[in-house]
Amino acid sequence: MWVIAAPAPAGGAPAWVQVLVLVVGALGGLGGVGAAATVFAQRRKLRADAADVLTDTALELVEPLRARIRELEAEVSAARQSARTATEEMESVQAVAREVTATLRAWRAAILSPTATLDGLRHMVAADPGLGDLPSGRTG
Amino acid sequence: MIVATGRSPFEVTLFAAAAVAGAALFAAGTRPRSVVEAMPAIVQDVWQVALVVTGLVGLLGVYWRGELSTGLGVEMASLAGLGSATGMYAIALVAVSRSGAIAPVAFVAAVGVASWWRAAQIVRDLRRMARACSAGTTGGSDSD
Repeated sequence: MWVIAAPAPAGGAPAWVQVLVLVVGALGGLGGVGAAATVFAQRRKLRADAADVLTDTALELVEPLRARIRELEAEVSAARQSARTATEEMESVQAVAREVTATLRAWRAAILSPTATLDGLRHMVAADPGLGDLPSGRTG
Repeated sequence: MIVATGRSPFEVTLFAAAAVAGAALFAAGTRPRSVVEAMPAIVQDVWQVALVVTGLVGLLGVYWRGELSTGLGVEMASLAGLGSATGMYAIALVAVSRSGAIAPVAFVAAVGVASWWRAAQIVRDLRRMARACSAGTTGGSDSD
């Protein structure tokens, strides 16, 4: 003989199961509605500056760029420092060059002067204070 | 300040699966035996509608383009609905199939737990956002 399984009637489970299902459903439904209502009511309070709030996905994208920016900032700072040093050295060298040129001009004028004498020139060169500032020791 | 996003493969897939499963049940005009046996007729209707609605609204919330807090609120409401619907289904499965449905119950219950977990995470993030907004800054120092 064939035994045919009759479809279970609706509400076939024990009553407590139905109550449990109802309670879970009601809790979730009320919780969801309550949460949505709360967020809706506090929308203004929650209006963050969008530029300041990052999702973690965005942060993952941004983090390598931040690291690169930090590196580049450090490089720029070092390059600025070295440029400042180079400028200072160049200015100092230019000042020395101007001084040396002026000294040479004065000596040339003195040597080419019709009244120049060897002693006078020696005197003038020995007394010239300008060469005392030169960095090299080859002036002696 | 950092807010966890809902655009993870798990969450998006589960919302889509809920919507598709609910719609497919409507199209086929059938319902799982455990649901039929463990829920009153009206609750079955609500459960099935909840599957479709939470799935679609959840996807809407996850991909919300406007205010971040609004998107999170929509997502959280859907997660509460999805958590309840999967919880109800898990209870029905346990009540009707007992130990014969251990694996399905485990997976369905896991979806429910994950939904509530994520909803709690959103509540935490929204609280932090509210705190940061009332303090007038959302920058940096908020590490949690």
